[in-house]
Amino acid sequence: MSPGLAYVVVRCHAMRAELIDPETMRSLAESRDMKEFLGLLSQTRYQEIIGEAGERVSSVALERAFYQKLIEGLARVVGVAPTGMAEFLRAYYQMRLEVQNLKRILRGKFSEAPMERIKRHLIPVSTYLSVDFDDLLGAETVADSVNLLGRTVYAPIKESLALSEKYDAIWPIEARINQIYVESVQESLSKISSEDRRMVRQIVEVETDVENLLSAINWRRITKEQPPPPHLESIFPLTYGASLKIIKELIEGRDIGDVVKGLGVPYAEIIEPIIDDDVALVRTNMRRHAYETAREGRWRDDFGFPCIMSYLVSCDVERGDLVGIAWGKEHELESRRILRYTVLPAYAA
Amino acid sequence: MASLSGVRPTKGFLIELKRRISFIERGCEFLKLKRDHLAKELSASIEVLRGRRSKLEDQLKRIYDPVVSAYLSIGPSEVGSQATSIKKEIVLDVLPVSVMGVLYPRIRVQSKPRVEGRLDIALSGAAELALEIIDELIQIAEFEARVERIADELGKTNRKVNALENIVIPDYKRTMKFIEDKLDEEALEELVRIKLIGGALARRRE
Repeated sequence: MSPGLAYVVVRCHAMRAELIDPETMRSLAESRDMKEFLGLLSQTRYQEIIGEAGERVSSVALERAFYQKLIEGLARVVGVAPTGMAEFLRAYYQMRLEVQNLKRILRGKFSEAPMERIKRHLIPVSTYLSVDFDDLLGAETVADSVNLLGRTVYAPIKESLALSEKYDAIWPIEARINQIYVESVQESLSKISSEDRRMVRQIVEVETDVENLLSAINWRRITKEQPPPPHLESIFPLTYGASLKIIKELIEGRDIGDVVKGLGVPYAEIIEPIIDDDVALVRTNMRRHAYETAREGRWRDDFGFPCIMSYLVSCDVERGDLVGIAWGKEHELESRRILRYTVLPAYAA
Repeated sequence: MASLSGVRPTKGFLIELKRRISFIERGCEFLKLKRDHLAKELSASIEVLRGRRSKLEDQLKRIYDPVVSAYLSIGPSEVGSQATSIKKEIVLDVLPVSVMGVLYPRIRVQSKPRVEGRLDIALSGAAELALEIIDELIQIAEFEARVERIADELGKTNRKVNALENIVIPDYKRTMKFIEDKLDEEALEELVRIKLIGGALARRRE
């Protein structure tokens, strides 16, 4: 083990102690109201956020703060990681957040939403691949924004502009952005060992496939089970375990239950709630899959890359759970319902 | 009881009062008709509204369920951002309509946004359902505004009828009675005076 890697592993082990454990997460989800939730949260590493914001903090403000903490954790790890690994982590996490912001800006530009409204929904992340969010926000149209991305890794988005105009929708551009992200992650995988690569692939490829399947089901709803378009490959450019044939069958109207049964492990388990139209639970299952995969990786090697990856995945899962719980508490939802869409409380003893 | 100090006990004033009270009684009859009509309209509207509302609430629950799940699963900023990808907003025309003098808004949908293919699957189903029931939702809002205004007007009309029946008309009747009594008294005094003068003149002639 290189000294650089040993240092970052030790740091991750130390920082892991700061994370919210499943028992505490369950207590947070089962808290009576927002006040109790904030009280419990103030006993965790989010203490300073609660102190700054006071008791009248909204779930939207909390979401920003949770993202801020995730970004801080990411920066701490990336800052001390060996160069190759840092490159991968930046591509995997920082680009992931950048891609989310990019999609949010382009959605806003598509509907000609005011700049302030778009800004409200942005993740407080600094740019990763020389994308100037302020320039993009200042652009008049989607085409102008896409042109501004011409010199970045996102330049191929231009190719999906025609499809976006044809369908008068933003999803072709979003699909292209997702593809660029996955390709960048795949490319940066060369910086880590083959064993570690397998773990990351298991997460990224399953995510891509599940999103493809969800898009196919959405497409089927929109087109009312009409024959799929001829250029299906351009809409779903990357497929792994769930092939283009399955996607085509879904669009053509094959029974969703049959398709789900036909999908192997882990797809069937992740996507099963779609039969009852519970897309949110599919997304929760996807986060659970990432968490499980990273945990398994850690069991295999707790003193290498899996330990770092597992820490970052845990940070992200923690953020996702806290965002859901904060929103649920603000809207006085039953704890049972909140728990359904959280990952960590299921691991409480 | 209203004060009668400013009343002029003259025949002309009595005729004027009689004219006024017949006008007020006619107005009161019209108001009673309006009240009955509004009450009938209100009870029928409430019946319809109750049925339509419970149906709408069921439909809204079907919409809220996936939206709430989406908020819990992908967070408020992502849901908010996805909502911004809807290009056009709903455009409504609101016109005032009068029924028995009661003004209520009539709402017509000018244009609806297109949601197909614009949202993530977590929200698209809910958005399509919401768009399907938007007409019904607007009609019920219109109906509720109508019921509210009718109920308001019914209350006002009822108060007017009660005021006329129990205060204004009895007051006028009392005033008229007072003038009639006064005029009768004056006529009697006049008769006695004439009789006395007639008797005095007869005695002088003798």
